[in-house]
Amino acid sequence: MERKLSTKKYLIAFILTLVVFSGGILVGLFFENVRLSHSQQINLQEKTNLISLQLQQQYIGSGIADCKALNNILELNIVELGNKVETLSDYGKRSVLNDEDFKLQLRDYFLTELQFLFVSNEIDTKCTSDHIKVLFFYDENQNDIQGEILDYVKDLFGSRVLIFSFDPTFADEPMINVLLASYNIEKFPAVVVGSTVFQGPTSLKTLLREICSQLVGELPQECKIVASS
Amino acid sequence: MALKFGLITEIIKMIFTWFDITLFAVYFILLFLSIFWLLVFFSDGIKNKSKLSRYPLFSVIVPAYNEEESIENTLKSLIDLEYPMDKIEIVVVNDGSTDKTSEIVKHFILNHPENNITLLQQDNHGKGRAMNHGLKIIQGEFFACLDADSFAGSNALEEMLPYFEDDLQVAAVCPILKVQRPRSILQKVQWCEYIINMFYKFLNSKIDCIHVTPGPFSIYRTSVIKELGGFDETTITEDLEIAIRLQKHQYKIVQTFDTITETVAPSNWRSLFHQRVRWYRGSVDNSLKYKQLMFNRKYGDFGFLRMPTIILSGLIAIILTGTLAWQAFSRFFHWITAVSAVNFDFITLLKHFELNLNWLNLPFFKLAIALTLLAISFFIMVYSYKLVKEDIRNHGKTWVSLVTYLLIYSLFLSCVWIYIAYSFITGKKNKWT
Repeated sequence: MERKLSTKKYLIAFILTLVVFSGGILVGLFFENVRLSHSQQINLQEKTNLISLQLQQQYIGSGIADCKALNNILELNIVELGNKVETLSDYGKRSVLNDEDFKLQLRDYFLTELQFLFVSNEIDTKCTSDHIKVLFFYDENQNDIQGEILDYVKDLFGSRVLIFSFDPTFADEPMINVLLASYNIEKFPAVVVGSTVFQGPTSLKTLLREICSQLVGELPQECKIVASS
Repeated sequence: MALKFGLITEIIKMIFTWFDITLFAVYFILLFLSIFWLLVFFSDGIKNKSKLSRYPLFSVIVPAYNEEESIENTLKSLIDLEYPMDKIEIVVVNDGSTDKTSEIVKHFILNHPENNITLLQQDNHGKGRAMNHGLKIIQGEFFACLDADSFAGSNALEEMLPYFEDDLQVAAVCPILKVQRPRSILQKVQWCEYIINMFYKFLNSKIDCIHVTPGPFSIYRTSVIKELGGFDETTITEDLEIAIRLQKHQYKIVQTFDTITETVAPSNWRSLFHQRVRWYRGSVDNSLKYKQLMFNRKYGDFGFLRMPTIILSGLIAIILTGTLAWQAFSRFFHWITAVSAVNFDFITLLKHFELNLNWLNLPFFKLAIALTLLAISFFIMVYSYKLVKEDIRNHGKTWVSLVTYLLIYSLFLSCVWIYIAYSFITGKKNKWT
């Protein structure tokens, strides 16, 4: 005896499942476009901040721009940059159809970050600064904790450490390779403190020692602890 | 070295791609099944049954192993059945109990001489053997099995027997099962679970897909069970095995919602774990035993959909729990490594802690699927209670049990499935514990 098979229900259920899935994909794509717009907005904002900083830097010494205020603005901008690079990177990883557009935004972002680095070097020639610059070339490997160690260093030293993060595997921007070549970096993660290069995972202790040795002016409490250990 | 590293990276990328594809497939299947069952829900209803036109001789087999706590109440529920007393015979099969079960039953028989109650003794050989032992001597045209920790509703026979009269292909009828007087949070959680399961049985019944005739007072047509050779004594889920066997021989199994059988639920997680391992492992073993039914159109929706989903549900539970556990472990491992690298300086970390929530980074595709599944689940929950005429607030502990059911219980059941997969792979046999 042939039993009844609910073929019609299976078909309708399959079609409805496809509809819901397609709806989900469309929602995902819609928000991908929203993320792209957000990336563009972030880049525009950072570019504007950069132009403002560049203009202020031109007027150091004329009495219009103040070194202390400029360093504060620089420090805030660098922190903002560091926060945003993760966002842009995450957006790029999530992209389905707009991969090229996200790569372009990320490339634009890294270039802006490089320009901030150069502006900061120019400011240092005109103003005495009590901060040091750290370049961080991160490893996309999820087990890499170098970023967390540097976040902690930033928490300890605040505005006295400016951290610039770059994706060394970002092949779309030749300037990153130029930077890597200038420091002879071949292994990642890599951290450059001033002009000292650390390749591969670097412990907190090593970083603190190097940072404390390069800081000028009054040393923070953390450096006294490192010196005594 | 670089070549080796590159190869390892490529393999990891491939695994994760297959992993993503598997997850995608799981979401699709879950959604498909949810929508299918919703369509079954909205399809034509079950036919109304007629009233009982006669009172055939009815037998009840009560297999009992160390049930001194509840056997007396079980027997009381049987003599309270709304049915002519001279038309009921009760056969208690003492399966080698080491407690006072046998004495209590003898005492009960002495105190109720007007009822036709027989006590059979056997060495401990399991429920299947006990059932067959009782089956050899019963005279009833229909019989029920009643576990000695379960209690039949007084209207059971009036409500269940008409199905046999209306359709000669009906070989078994199952009642609503509820947890008796849940006291602890765990029992209340099981009470919730049983109610939702009744909804699924309602759906399964609509398309003739019932795959288990539960021990507590499922009624069988005696001639059919005898013709099929009685109960399987090699399995400890004989209620599931007989149901699949009935389906294989194209008999019908009906779920009724007009009578309630109450059963005692495990009161601690350990007992519950053992119970569920028995049940689910039994379902896997019997599904494999009857694998020729799977995807077989000859057996209608039962073969095409129900049989495969018995094992599929376990696989899905394992995949989803495995994914969750892996992600939780990875994140925890990363966090602990990062925190140890900064010498566990929680004070500094907490001082500078910022919650950076970027809602644009949410996985919207997965959220859309999850919300759809959640909406369907919510509908099922609400309607389940309506179907069995219960209120979720009954027996108290409402919010705690609901949260436990939604968050912890499903993880617990997934762990049961993981253990079953392990026991299956290592060749461990299913047994009473």
